[in-house]
Amino acid sequence: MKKVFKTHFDKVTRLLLLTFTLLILLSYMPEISWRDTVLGSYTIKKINLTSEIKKERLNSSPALLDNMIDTIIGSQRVASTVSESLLEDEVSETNKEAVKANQSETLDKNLLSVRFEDYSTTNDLSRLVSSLKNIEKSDSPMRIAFLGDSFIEADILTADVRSLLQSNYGGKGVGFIPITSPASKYRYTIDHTFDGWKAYSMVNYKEADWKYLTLPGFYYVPSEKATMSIKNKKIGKEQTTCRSAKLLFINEKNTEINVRVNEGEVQTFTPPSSPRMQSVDLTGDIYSVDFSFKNVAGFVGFGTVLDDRKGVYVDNYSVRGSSGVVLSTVDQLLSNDFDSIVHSDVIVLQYGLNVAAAHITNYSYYKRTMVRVIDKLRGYFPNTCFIIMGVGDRAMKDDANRYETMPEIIAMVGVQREIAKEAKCIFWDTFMAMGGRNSMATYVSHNPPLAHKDYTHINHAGGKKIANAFVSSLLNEVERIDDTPRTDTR
Amino acid sequence: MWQQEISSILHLLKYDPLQPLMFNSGFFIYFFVVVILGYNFIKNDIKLRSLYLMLVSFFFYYKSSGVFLAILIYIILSDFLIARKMSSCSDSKIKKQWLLLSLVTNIGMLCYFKYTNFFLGSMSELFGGGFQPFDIVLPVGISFFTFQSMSYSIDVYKGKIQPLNNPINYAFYVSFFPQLVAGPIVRARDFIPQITRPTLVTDQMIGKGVFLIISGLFKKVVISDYISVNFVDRIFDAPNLYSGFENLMGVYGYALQIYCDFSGYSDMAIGIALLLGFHFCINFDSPYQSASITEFWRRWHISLSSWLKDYLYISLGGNRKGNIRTYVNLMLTMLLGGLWHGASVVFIIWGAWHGLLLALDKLRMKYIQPCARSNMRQFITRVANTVITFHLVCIGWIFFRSDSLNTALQILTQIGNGINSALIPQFAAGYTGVLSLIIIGYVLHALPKRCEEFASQLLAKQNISTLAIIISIFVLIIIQVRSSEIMPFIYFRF
Repeated sequence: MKKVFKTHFDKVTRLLLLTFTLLILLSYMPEISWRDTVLGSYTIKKINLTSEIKKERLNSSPALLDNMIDTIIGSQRVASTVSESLLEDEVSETNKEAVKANQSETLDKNLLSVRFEDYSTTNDLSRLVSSLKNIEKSDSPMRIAFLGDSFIEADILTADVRSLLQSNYGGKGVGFIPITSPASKYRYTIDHTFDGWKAYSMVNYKEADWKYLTLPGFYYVPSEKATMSIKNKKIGKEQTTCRSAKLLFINEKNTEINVRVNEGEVQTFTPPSSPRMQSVDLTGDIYSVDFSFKNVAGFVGFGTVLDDRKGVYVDNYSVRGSSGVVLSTVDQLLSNDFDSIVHSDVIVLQYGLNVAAAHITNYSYYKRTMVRVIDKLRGYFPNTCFIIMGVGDRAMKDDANRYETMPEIIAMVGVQREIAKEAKCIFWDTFMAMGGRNSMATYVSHNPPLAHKDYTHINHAGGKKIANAFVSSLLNEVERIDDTPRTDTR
Repeated sequence: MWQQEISSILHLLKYDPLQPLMFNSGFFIYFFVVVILGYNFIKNDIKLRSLYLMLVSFFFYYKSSGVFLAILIYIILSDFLIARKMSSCSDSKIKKQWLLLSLVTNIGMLCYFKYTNFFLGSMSELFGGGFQPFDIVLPVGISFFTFQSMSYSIDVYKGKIQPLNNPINYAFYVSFFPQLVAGPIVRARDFIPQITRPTLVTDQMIGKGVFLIISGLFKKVVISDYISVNFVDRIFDAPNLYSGFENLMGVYGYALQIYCDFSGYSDMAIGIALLLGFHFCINFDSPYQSASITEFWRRWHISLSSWLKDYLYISLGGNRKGNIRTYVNLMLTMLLGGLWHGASVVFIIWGAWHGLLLALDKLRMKYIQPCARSNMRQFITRVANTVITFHLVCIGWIFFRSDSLNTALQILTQIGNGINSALIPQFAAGYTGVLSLIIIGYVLHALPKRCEEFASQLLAKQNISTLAIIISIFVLIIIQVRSSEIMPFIYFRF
């Protein structure tokens, strides 16, 4: 037999046939893995020549979402201790609701428009929408605070929510800007430079002093040479200005604050010593502020708020690495002070990225903690309504080397909806707004790309798309309260 | 039951724009095994061999570019006929016109597909903008096979080779699948003599072929793809989000990535051709070991740079028209060489940068004579020159890779703003995989040629079973890296 093989097939052919046979055999080998050894844990990924061949192109139509979620969760490597069938049921129940909630929209218009789901007992959504509608008649501005993680860092998404709302309802100014920020050069909206500050974040809560923590999530301690400058970027030829700039700080001793507005004369402020939060208010047609300080002992800076008197403002309070759980560290007194100086009508919580980790689908601890966090914040900010913005899509490579939605994300979306229900606030499904399953992969391969190649973070262009969806859902609600009350179609 | 299997196999044979055929895809393994099986039976019949490989290559091109197979066939027919006309022609004027027709056809095709949007877009920018780019799909490998076909026409025109009588042989030469899609650009005078020689695959060739295929795959999948997805791409996407040190590492990473990507694919092409009994010239010769830019261009993408030298630089006059003209020719050649890589201003800047460096190097060699030195000093000088040359090349890569001039300047600014050495341990901890691969890559690159030859010889001596096992283990390793999860973003304080 071997002789026949050798005479009819030359060396190269025999080599390739043998290699091919070996590879096929290897794809049937049992899974080899080792866990918790000196070298760590590892599972050998198998050669799967046939997976390249099989083409499973599932259509991502929203109506099939039910089936797909069950399929994904059923077929994935879930390494949790909670009984799988229980989790599947929970998750698919809540996601079935998501589909129902959105179905009337998909019937109304051809676009997938994601509705705000109001689980509050105090009609938060209608109240929010009414005040938005009446903003022009009102003398005080409306503020929406986005608390999030690196997903919205560098003003991603919030910049576009801001400009859309401001073009509809008025308002000028980027709102809150922290004293320093690692992503400051990435912001498109302002030129922000700083030097000589030490930053403390709520994520490093062991190092930070909790009495200085509130919504912004950071506080900054200056050295004698500390400086901070903000300049509004020109949009085309237009130099945008705003009418008010407030520096927020605590002055425990006798710090002197020097500021130049619009590169003009230096103004000096010597605020009274106090352990409470204070502000230095500058007014006029402001496009740039430059701060420097003397006698910095006992001084703690938070940030600057740039706005106008009327209109809508969107503040971005993002903290890299935060899961939302660390919001339990915020200080009550400081929060009250903060609320009286910069009152937020809406707080949007955009978290989940740093929680939805591979192989974990049991988020009951996270759920309990977040419900407690929201209850606590509700107490500190009594006149504020809360919106939970669900986690966005995130993709990982599957066995056939394609980028697919992590099943843990789908579980997380379900959990966040439940948090909204239990904490009685509003929920908005970011995952659906992106396009649902595998939308992150679409974002990355889009031309121009809408997300970074880590398949986790969107970029400014992607943020704009999601912002459009967010604001149009909001505007739809505004239109809806104009109509006569309709019967519940659910 | 078999219906589905049969229909999915048939579906596989169809062109799928979302999964074009490449050497590192699963389908290619099946393809190559089937090709070799058939080849085994016909390889001793020279005529049949050309026909078979031509058909196989056409199918390969169809699987990578679909309907653009027609363009390939058109170029082949056109240049085949033109070459015949040229050689039977005695009037040099008419001969020149035929050559012009060939050049215009090839360059015209290339320009239409590759540069229309770029050209029209740039023009419209000058006049106020508002140009909407056309949806022109680029046929895969068009930059390579047009250049290859032109080398044939020009060589026939100059009388350096005789035109082929058999169109199948010519079609085989242009379309031969290992080099069709990403080079090397094979010269007619190097390949055509091989078309009529009997098939001979020695153990040496098998050893070298297997070595090149394995090392090519390793370079492309394990090094290049991994460090690009998990690191380099992110830096170039948003340089301002990263510190100077990370940007610098991104540049070093890219220099390695592009070398591994390009040379890996070339190596696989050369290796596959060897297994079929054909010899291609080496395309990359450890270019980062160069101690000068001139040397770099003798070691980097050799088939392209020698094509540009022989057919563009020399045709423009080379160094035979006086000093100034020499430098002009040099610059022009490099600018066009840059543009060949892609339709964007960053490629032109890259070409100009290398043109400038080459010109300066030429001046240096003219006026600065090396003096006799001790061995140690010579060695140190060479190492210093290598490091300098490498960094000059890296500066070029910043422009080459950036999606816009703006991005390139951002990277240079970030690096220029200083390198914070405190970040290095953090970086090493956060990007262990990427850093290890970068170090491994450069160390392997620095090894002398003897090591490659030693490995090839070693493989040549093995029997088939051992070789098959070695290849399978390699494939297993490659799969581990290829399917690995994407590393998450790492953030550092800076």
